[in-house]
Amino acid sequence: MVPTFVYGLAMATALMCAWMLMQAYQRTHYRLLFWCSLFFSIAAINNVFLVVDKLVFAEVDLTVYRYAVALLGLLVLLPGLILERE
Amino acid sequence: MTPLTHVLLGAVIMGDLIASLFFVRFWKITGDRFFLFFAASFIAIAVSRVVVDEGIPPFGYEPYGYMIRVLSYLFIIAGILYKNRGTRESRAMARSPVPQE
Amino acid sequence: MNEDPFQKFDGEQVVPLEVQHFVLERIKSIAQLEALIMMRNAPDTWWPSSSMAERLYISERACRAELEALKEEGLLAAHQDDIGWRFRYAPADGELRELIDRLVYYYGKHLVVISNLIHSKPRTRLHEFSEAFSLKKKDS
Repeated sequence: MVPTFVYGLAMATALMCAWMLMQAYQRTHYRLLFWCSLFFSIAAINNVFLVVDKLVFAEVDLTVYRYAVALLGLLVLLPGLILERE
Repeated sequence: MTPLTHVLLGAVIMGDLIASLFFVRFWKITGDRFFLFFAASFIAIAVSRVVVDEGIPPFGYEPYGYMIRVLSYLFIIAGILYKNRGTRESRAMARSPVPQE
Repeated sequence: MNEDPFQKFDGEQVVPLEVQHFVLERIKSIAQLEALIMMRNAPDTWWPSSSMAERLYISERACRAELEALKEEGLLAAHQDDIGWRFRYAPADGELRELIDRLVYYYGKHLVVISNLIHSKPRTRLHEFSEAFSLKKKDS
């Protein structure tokens, strides 16, 4: 019950951010918004991996893949934050 | 946890902290406190990752880690509420105009 | 300030709303405004960006960017030759011409109001990130 709430909250928050940022990017063409949106999408996908890791493949540890995906998300986000125009 | 996992975890924690710092910077540049909520969210994620990691004594308390993670989501939600706090007021004011002081 | 960008004094607009709107929409800096006024005073002259830069005390590159922006807004005409870019005062239609004339008048009368309008514009695009999370209905 509590885990479901946590996973649900994680998905809702990440998807909402990804959605709002993508909408704004399409309106303004401000590239920073695109990278941030992509980051939150990857975070949402990673959350699916988390659920899968904990519930579905209980005997297999997907941790290393989850961290790799998280790092991938950051490698999308950080160059955007650093290089895009303020 | 394998050494590779530790390396990845370290990189991710550092990445979250850097992202957080950028949002602090954005707040400094614009004065818009909205960015602080995102900064707090990323710090919370970084902290939650440290707490969850069994490799770092005395941590390794998964439930606490996930509680702090929830906090990070709440920071974002709080930020969005903060961003929209004026909306409700201005809509109410538009309906019933306040006399000029 | 973000909610209502128009300048008021004692509840009245010292500068008419259309002029304020024109400034907010089309003029991004004091340099642009000064350039526009200078070029309006000699409307048949083709100004090289280098000489305008001298008069505005900014770099030639910055000046060219400012003048190009004014051209994009339909206030100047641009022409490139082997020396570089030249710009001429050329508002796209009579309405713009009239707005600029009124702007020049009010800039002379109420300098602070006009420059406040220009300086109230956010210098960064970060507010667009912030605005992305605003649930209010946005205009395009």
